[in-house]
Amino acid sequence: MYQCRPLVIASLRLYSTKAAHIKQTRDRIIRVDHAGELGADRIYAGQMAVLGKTSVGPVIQHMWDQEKEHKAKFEELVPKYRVRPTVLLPIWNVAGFALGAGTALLGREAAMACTVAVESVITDHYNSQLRELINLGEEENKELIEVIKKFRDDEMDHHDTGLANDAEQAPAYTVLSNVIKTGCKAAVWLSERI
Amino acid sequence: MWLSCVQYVFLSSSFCLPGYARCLQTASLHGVAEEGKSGPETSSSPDQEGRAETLGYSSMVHGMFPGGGVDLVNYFYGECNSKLDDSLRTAVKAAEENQELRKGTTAFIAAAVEERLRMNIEYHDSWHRALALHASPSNMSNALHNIGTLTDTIWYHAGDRSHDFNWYTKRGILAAVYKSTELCMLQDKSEDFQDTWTFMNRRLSDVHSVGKCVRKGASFLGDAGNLAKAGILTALNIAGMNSKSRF
Repeated sequence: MYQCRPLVIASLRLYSTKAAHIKQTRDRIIRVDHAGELGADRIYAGQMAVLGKTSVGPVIQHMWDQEKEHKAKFEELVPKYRVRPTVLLPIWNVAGFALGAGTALLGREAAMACTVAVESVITDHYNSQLRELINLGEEENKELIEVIKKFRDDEMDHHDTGLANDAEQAPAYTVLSNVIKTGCKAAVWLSERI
Repeated sequence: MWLSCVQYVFLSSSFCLPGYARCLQTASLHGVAEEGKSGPETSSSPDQEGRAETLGYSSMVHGMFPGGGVDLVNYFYGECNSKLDDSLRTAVKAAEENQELRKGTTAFIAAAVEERLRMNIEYHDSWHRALALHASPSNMSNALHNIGTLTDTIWYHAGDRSHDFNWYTKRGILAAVYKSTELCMLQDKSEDFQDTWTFMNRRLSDVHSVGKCVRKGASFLGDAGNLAKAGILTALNIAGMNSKSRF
């Protein structure tokens, strides 16, 4: 009885827990994805600031343009589903740029290693969200599933582009990649919650 | 009796708040309005037990509200919030069809806050007890959730589509205006709470002028930034250190 109280109260307008559960899951997914796409946009902005005029400039620019599209889509979905954006947006804004510019300063291979690490975490993350949404009901969440599917494919493409551009030749590739991956997972965990 | 027990078990296991429980809550609220003196905090177990029996339900049903009085306040708050949501939605739809009904953002917000506060008038005499219950630290999360839903409802229908940190500043400012007006209303003895509404309009115009000031400041900072950038670029060009430099 005590455990169910917050749920009842949190969903006073919805009354049934199933509707409340779907709304909560959707909110969480949109909130973290919006934060993630903002971070990705800032990472590419950081990389472009350093490597914009080198040979990999156009490659990064292409990926950046796609991330801008993703970000715009989630900026449209946040008010549409009346989702609260995460409090940490200003932090991701700065942290993303610092990560992008920092790795780019280590060289173009390190920048690509950063892309590979980030995109692999994001792809896994999108896949698990897709599984969750399909479990909740494929029909009701059709729009969200289609958006995430398309973005997942784009992110996978960025991951492969990174590998094709000698990501694995970066200095201390495994360490760099693991540090970035852990950081991304921590950011996802936090953005889902606050 | 047997049926009530079955219903009780069913209700507590399915976590829902159906018409049955709402009936009881509404009955308790009427009790608060009629008596005035038995505020929400006393309408916990014994009171609800009695009310359940007058409605013809088992006296056990009070167990559905382990929080006691604060559950009643939350119920009332939530009901009013959804009532406001529905009414603002109709108002927005009407304004879309008829341009003459369209209001400015500040006027829309003022009307919405007034409409919501008017819903409390019925329980005006015992409302301070509800506020006291919400001020207790253990009920803080519920209180924040309630005010959060309320401010989000108003801003959403006022046409706010922000997706950045603005989302928080807008709702925070509105929550401050709403809460201070609510407190002002507690002691207001004027006809039809006229003093409260003038108080609210003063607060909203303060917010409006602060917002204007911030926007002006931001645009000035932007201009200053551009100016600094232009200065640095000119200096670099004079020194011959631009990107088209032959060196």
